[in-house]
Amino acid sequence: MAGSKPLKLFFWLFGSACVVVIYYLSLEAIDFNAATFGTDIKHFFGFLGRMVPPDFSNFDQLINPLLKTFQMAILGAFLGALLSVPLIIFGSQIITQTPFIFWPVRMLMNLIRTVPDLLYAVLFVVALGYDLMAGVGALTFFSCAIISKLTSESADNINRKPIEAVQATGARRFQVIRFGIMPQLLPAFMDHLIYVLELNVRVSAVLGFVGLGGIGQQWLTALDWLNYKKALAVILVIFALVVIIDLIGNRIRDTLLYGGQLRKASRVFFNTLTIVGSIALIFWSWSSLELSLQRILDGLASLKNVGSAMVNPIQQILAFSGLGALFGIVIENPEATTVARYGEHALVQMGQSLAIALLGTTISFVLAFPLGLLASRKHTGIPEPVAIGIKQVSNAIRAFPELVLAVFFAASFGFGPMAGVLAIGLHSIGMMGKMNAEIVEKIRKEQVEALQATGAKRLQVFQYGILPQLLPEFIALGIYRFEIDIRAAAVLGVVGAGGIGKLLKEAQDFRNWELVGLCLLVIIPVVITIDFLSARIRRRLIEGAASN
Amino acid sequence: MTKPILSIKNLSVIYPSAKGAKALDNVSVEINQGEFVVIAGVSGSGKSTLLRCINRLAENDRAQITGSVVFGSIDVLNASSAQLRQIRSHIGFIFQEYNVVERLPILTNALTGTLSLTGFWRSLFSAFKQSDKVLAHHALMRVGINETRHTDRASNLSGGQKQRVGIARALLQKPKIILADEPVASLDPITANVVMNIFKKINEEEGITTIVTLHDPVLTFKYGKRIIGMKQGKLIYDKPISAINRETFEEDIYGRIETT
Repeated sequence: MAGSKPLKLFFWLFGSACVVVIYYLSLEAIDFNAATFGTDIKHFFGFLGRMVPPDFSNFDQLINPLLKTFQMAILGAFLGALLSVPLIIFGSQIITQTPFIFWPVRMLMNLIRTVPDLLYAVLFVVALGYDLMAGVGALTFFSCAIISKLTSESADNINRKPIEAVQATGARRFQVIRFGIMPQLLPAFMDHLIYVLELNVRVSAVLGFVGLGGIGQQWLTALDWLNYKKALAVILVIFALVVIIDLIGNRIRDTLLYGGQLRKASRVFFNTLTIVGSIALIFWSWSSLELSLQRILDGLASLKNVGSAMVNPIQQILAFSGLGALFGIVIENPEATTVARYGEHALVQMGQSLAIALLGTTISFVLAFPLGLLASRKHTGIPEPVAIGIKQVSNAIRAFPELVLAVFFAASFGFGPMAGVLAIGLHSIGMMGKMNAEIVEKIRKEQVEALQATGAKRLQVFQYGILPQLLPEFIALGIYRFEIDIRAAAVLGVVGAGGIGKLLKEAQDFRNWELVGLCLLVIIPVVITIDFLSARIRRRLIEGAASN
Repeated sequence: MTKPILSIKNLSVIYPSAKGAKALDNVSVEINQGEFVVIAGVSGSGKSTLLRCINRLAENDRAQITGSVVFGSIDVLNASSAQLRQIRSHIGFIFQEYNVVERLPILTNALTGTLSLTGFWRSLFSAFKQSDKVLAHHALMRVGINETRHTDRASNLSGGQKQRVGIARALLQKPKIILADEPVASLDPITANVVMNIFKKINEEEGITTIVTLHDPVLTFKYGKRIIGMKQGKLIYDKPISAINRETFEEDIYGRIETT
């Protein structure tokens, strides 16, 4: 970096001023009120108090919705995985060597990932009506986005040496993929598939918020009747399902992928059992949700409803920006259009969503820092039981989706953006605490040992041997979390926690599909832009850390 | 005089990342049927690039290759991709990092050597011919891997054992020539000798032409029957072992070692 000292100082001051202004504006945007904050916190704990003990008396009524949720999750993961296979193949630089193919496919992949899960649900409700199939559709896209994104990242990082060895034997392209690439990629794919299945249960539990049935609906009903004890029972049931899937999924994955030590006979037995079991589960879900190919085709045909909901606002935006004439778009009575009536409001609400995400991420970043350090016993000298205990803290927090937390906070802090900030903040602490701990686990011990060998004190070792390895990674992770939190903040309004989601929910309730379209047109470009910027900054941070 | 199995003429290579510096500079050499050649030189002298040009693996690193490589009677550098696969199937290539697919069983790793003769459906379901499997077992046992281990995953092997799997893979190609790129550089001295002895035996028993690159002068002397020296992309030395002056050998190839 060339640059004179005063210039650097100027940029530093200017940057700090910008940060201060941004945070001030964010606090303004969420109507932060320090005076009432203390009493609201008291309310929150009072509210939690009213939920215990959980009321399991109607447990038998929960079983059916729970099964429906589980079935939606399974079908969504399965169909999403199917859909992701061509994306992974054609979006991979190693498999498809033509940039003309893999770049557009990658862009499509990013676009699919951009849309928050609940927005897919809204879209499918627009197309298919309030039907469990809309839930399956939303989960399919959600799963496809995550599996294809994560697996392509693994594909970019696979070891190229074995691929070269297979090439050197004179194998054909297909054989190189089959023997050089597939064995390396399959574990990652399976890994992400099981992870998505677990995520799907959580997500399908909140799909009830937009009217899509399943266990989420039960929860909302309980809350509407102010039956908090029953609401807690429902949450615990969802939580139990997630934990069970997690446990079984990890077992299956470990045996499938790392079962090299097993005897061949038992390996074959286990693999057959898994495959047969999965097929049976898929068929069971398929028939139980009364899906059929015909219904899916009908559903796809009605997706054009979504199209028209999007097209009209686009036309209006073009007309207002003066570009309409170029495309020959004429709008009668422009004051009455959706864009004229709601355009500004939508932008202000999106601004509030950004503020919610920024403040929520900041809170979690600050708190997850010590949580991550303390959860790893490596190098930090934390006794093992303490480290494991702290790890469980972030695991427990992370189990509750933002939306569920948002409902709790909205009930005690009032409907509004503050509930959103706290929900995002708390959930992100769980996620970042866990990932920070994983970063700490991966510290290179050579550098630490080199400092210890010089006779440095513990704090010095930390400052010069550990912190420099951690800081860029932590910050990169925080920025990445901001990306995710923006998606969450955009939809949290659905449960009354402020931001553009509130407008979206109102639009959906009044079946004003054009306004739904307008909300999407505001959310998607903002999310894409922030994703793009964040990816660049993160790359700078990590690579800069490596080269300096 | 018989025709050489491999003849390289005026071969030059530039990597775009190296800003015009030549990785190989006008190298010409002929290798005859049945020879055991060691290419010696420090790292970065162009040994690997030379080997990787013979089956055009160097193109994976975007190398720009000029000159000519003739293998048998085929012009390698102008071969179509189908011809290139044909050529590669006759060349057994051994890598420094072994390049085994760790998650596949040892047997399957060896069997990848038969892929050029295996059809679409058999490859898709990893259903290799019984006769090939028998050959694979034999090849693995020949390089010293017990039959009890053949269905284990390759990730459970030590470095020296992985390299043996790499050799078995090459043997299954029934190669006319074996190219080994620093095959023992990642191994301890004892294991290195064991692996080098395998190459020596294959060369002596089956007459398969073998070219090995080594950076270690001791091993170079011990196993080479003809020694080629390379320095900064140029071929600077080429003598049969009988004609080598051991006193000046190291200085001839590696250059005078500056001591201050």
